[in-house]
Amino acid sequence: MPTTLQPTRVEEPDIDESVAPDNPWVVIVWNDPVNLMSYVTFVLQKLFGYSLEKATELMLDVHNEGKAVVSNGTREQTEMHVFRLHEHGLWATMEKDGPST
Amino acid sequence: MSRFRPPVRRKGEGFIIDLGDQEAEVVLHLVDELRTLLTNTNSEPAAEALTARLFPVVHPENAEMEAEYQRLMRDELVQSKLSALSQVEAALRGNGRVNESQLLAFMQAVNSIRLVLAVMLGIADDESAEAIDGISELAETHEQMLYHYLSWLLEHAVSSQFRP
Repeated sequence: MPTTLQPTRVEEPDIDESVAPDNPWVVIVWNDPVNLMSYVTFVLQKLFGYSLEKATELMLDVHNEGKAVVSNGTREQTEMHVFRLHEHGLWATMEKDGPST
Repeated sequence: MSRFRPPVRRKGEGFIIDLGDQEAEVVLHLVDELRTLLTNTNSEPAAEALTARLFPVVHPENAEMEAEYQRLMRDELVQSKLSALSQVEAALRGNGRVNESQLLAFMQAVNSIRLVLAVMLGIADDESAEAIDGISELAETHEQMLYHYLSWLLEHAVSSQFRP
């Protein structure tokens, strides 16, 4: 991702990073060479209510590791998350965490 | 020397998208071009390739679920992107005043155009993106210039949300 301006801090509640058994689907955002780092951070804050610190951490995971899990939930919930990310132009996929049941 | 005024900034309860007349016409032209690509019902391979980044695969390892997802959501995503383009047109043909939701649509539309230009420019990885970024302004092609302009515009749209 291209280097970009850094947005200022907003206060939002942190989230539970664990994947609960009844929320087995995860949304993955993948690194791409087009989406701006500031824009990815902003979208993660906007869609998921993450703090700037949390959104920045996830964005850097995407940038440095190639991908990051940004949310989890039921299949319906994660499909909606993916849809919203695609509305913003981010490269997102979803998969079931762990073995299929 | 007059003070620099960001092209997107807060104004009153909302925001203003304040492009020069020529810049606004360029963006409106690009909006029109993207609408043509999105509404091309012939699904020509070239058009499909240009918009591929706008419609990522959701279930890369499950073709059946992917087909089901696309059957249910593809048209809705196309409509969402067309709606964003219409909101940009309304803002730029009006006085540029937008609320937060309309600014979000502006950002989505600008980024959609960037994603298409990136395909045209062959930006496939970080190396090719850096190569494009490293080109001197004097040597830029038309598409490279547009890509950099829209990146700059999107940066200002993002930062406008955090400025007082």
